[in-house]
Order: sequence, then C-alpha cells, then structure tokens
Amino acid sequence: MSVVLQGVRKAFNGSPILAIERLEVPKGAQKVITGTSGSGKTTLLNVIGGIVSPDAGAVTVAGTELTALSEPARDRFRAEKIGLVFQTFNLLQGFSALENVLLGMLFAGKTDRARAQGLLERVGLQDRMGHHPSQLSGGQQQRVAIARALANRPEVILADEPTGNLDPKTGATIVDLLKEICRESGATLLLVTHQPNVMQSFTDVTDLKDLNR
Amino acid sequence: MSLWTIVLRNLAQRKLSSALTAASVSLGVAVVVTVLALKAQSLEGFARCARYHLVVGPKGSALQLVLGTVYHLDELSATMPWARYKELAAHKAVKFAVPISVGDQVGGFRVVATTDAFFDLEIEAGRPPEIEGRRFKFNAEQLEHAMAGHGEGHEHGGDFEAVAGSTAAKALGLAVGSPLLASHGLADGGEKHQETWTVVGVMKPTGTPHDRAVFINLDSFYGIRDHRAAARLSAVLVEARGGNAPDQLRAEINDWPDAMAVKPSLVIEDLFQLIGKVDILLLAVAVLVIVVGAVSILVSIYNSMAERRRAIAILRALGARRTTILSIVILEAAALCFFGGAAGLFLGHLLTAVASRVLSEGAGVSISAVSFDPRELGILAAVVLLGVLAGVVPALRAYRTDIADGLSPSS
Repeated sequence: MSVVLQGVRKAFNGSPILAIERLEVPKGAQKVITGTSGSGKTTLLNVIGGIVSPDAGAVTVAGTELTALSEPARDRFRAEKIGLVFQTFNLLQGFSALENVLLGMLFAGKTDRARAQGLLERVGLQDRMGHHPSQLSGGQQQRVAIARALANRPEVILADEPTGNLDPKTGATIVDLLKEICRESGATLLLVTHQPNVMQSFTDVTDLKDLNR
Repeated sequence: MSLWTIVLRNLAQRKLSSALTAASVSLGVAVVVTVLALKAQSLEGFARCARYHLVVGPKGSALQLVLGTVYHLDELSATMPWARYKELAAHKAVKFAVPISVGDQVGGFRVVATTDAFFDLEIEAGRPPEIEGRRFKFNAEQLEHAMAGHGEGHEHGGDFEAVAGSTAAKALGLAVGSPLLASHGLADGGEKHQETWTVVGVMKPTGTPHDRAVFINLDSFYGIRDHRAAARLSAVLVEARGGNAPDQLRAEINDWPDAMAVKPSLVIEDLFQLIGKVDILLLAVAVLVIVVGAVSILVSIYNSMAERRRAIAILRALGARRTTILSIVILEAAALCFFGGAAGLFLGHLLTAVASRVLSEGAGVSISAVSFDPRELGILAAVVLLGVLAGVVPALRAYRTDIADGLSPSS
C-alpha cells in the first residue's frame, strides 16, 4: 500500500474534522477524494503529507509511519517522497520556473538542473523555463507546480483542488497531464476536488463523508 | 541552487529597503574605518616626521615649537639666542645641531632658513632627502659675520640660494635656476624682500612637511636687513649621541633660562592623546549609526514577515525544516550587514583618501588610503555578528510559521 490511514482523528477548536477508521490507497493508484467545502479534504491531504499531525491514529506513507517521525524527519520525508500540487499553485514569485523546480529538489539534498529542465519540457514549458510566475498563465503555473512536485521522484502526489483556479478546459488538460505523468512515473495520485468534471475523469472516487465514521 | 540563492533572491525582492538598511550600516562602518585609519596613520605619519631627538627653541609652548619647526605649521614668534646654538653645536653629547630660522614665505609656502647640514637629517632610517640639482651653499663665516651685525643684503657677499620642497616647487613652478622672491611674514601677501634667491635644487617627494617648504641658506637669511636684528634664531634641531644622551641633554637644556628642549615624538603623542578624546566621541556616534542600521534591518525584515508568510509556508511544504527557515532569515540580516559593512570599508578608504589629500596639502604629512588595517576584518565580523543578532527576532517569527495556515487561500 502507498498510503494507509488507521484510526486517524483530527479536530479543530473542538470540532471533529477527520475520523477515519481506515483508508488504504494502493501503490500507483489514482484516487479522488471529494466532499463539500470545509468537509476536511485539505486537512486530510495535510495529514497524509505530514504537514498537520493527527490528534490520534497512524498515517503510513510509502511504508513509513509518518506519525512516528519527529518533525524534522517528517520534513525530510515530505521532501523526498511526497509531491504537492496546490489550488493556488504556490510558486515562489522571485524565482523562475526552472528555479521553482530546483527549489523542490533543494530540501531533499540533491539539485539536478538537467532533470529539472527535463521535467519542464515534459510539462510543455521548454520555452518558459526562465519565466517568473507573474509572466506565466494559471495553467502554465500549475504545470510548473506539477514539474516541481515530481522533482524528487516522489512515491505519492497529493493534489489539492489543482483545477480550482483554472478554467474548465485548462483544468481538464492539467488533470490529464497529472494522471499521465503519475502513470509514467508510477507515483500514487491522491487528488481532492469538489468539481464534478474532475471527478468524472477518475474511476476511483470516494466521498470524505463516507470515510468519516 | 542553495540557501544563499534564496537569501539573495529574498533581498533582491526588497531592493529599496535592503539598499537603505545596508547603506545605514555602511555609513557607520565608513566613519569607524575613517576615524581609525586617520588616527593610526596620521599618528604614524606625524611620528615619522618627528625623527629628531630634540628640538630646542625659546621657552614657551612645546606644541607650537614642534609644529613650527618640524611640520612648518605654527608661527614661531619668539626666538632663542644664537649663542645657545653655538653651545649646543660644541656640546659633547650632541652629534649635530642644525639651526633654523623662519619668518618668511613664498606664495604661501614656508621659507626655512638653515644650514646645509639640514639635508643630512634623515627623513626615514638611512635616507636623507634626495635633491635634484644640489644643496645650497652655506657660508658659516658669512653667518657669523651677519650674526655679529655686519653686512646687509647682497652686500654681505654670500650666496642667496634655495632648495624647494617638491610640492612647493610644483605649485610655484620652481625648477633649478628659477629666481625666488620671499616675502616677510608667514601669511601670504607680506612685504617682499628686495633680495632674490636662486633655486639650486628641488627635493624629491618625501611624504613629509619638507615637501611644502622652501629652504634657504641661513647666512642669506641673516644677510637681509630686516633679519639681522639681534643674533637670535627660531630653533635648533638636535641629534644626540645615542643611549640616554637625548634625555640627559633635554634635562640639561631645560635648566637654561632662555631655551627649552622637547622630544617631538612625545609632543605628538600628547597631541594625539588629546585628539583621541574626539575620536572616541566620533567612534561612539559611528557605532550608534551601525546599531541604528542593524535595528532598521530587524524592523525591515520583521515587517516583511507578514507578506512572506506564504513563501515560508511553501518552503516548509517543500521540505524545509524550521531551522532552515530560521537560518535563511538570519542569513538575510547577516548578508545585509556584510554588504553594508563591505561597502562601508570601501567608503571608509575613500573618505580616508580625501582626508589624506587634505592632510597632505595642509600639513605635508602623507598617509596611505589603501593601507589595510587588520582591525577592519574585526569590524566587518562584528557588524555581521550584529546582523545575526538583528535577524534573530524576525527569524523566530518565521520559525513559528504554521505550514497549513500559511498555505490557506486566505493568507
């Protein structure tokens, strides 16, 4: 299994957000978690990504129990094994597309310029490597973010509403690219969205409320 | 790609505040460097010129005597008896004694009347001044004749010759063979003497006050009617015969009722100790400017933290540890101080160069603007350390940034 959640509980200000008895995502799977706004989809990804610690339960990603790691070890694990794609792209503004991808490699301890360039070529940005985020369209920025997420050959890609800030046509292209690129690399894709058109392109769709017991 | 790339890029994104805060640090460092360089080098420069064992002159201000004879700066209105020079010249503890008399100028440059022995006095160890052309001819008999109150002007029959210092020669357009007309008094515009001297030599640059003076033979000075009054002279430069002789001689001379002896090096040290108090005040102001610069760096980075919250959260999400974020922010503050400090060192040397020119033109003492003081490395290190301290507060704020909060669309 690529991702396993066992008895995970998370509450904010006393309000329970997550209460997942068990969630298993097989290696190489492409799974969508859906749910209404505020239902805890982002929190779920943050828990799996080691960004937020659960109040209880165990989170295992790529065979490593994240909940047993210290914070610095979790940071290192996230850098090496998890790729993140956000709704708002979250590229660093002062850096070029290529540098944003290299930044994705920096904290895993290995910056490989050739690989970064190759990834940007793979997402169709061979002519935009030196461009800064402000010089790129939303779709292009999300492509940079995808290239960055793949920088360290992660085992899991966590995508949080990756089409939320894109028009439907660009969104569909990005989703296709994500799926295709994860298939090529063998990475597990866990995507959260509330957009029906995105859900429709996946076969494995689970509503968060069905996970929360 | 390294942490330094992130640090430098972050600074570049806040160009104006980075430049202004670094500039305030650089100003402080520049003043510190200038004050230290000027103090150390001018002391060294002044001390280098104060090579004579003793200066013997009329009783009065030791500082005035040294400034007037060694540096050609102050006026020497009082005089000492010629007989005292004779006594010194014959003294067994005296290696040689060189009489000088001042009171004239040419084009604003001091005219120093002395004997040809003056050119044997070293300007640095083993090196007397070099002259293009030759020394003036000194006629001891004519001098004795004049001191005895005989003869007048050219009528006394001696030579009226001059050797010009390099700066004076350049400014006055003097070369070997040039005629020279001196004026009475040390201020420009005094009454011209009727006598004409001939330049027979031009000193090569010495980096000492000699450069800003014109030297004439003492017998010609006393051959002028105005100077031939009462067999007196301005001062005597004395080289004693090693060991304790200078101190013993000084004590002996200071018992004389009509003359005193001073050690120029001690007088200059005293002068610089006095000036040192002003230095401390200047240094305190400069350090304050540096501290204000460091505080402005703190405030500038701290205020930028709110807008950088998302960027920090992104770095954390990409795997940067809290301590990495802490390091980045501290390095930013340290880098601003380093760049400011380095610019300050450069600016300090630039200011020293300007001051050096002023000092050289005003006092003839040359100091080097490019000479590196090892303490400057210490200043730079201290400034960088101050930057590190200034970076701690905003760095702690960055350290505490919550990734999930920072990444939320509302942040």
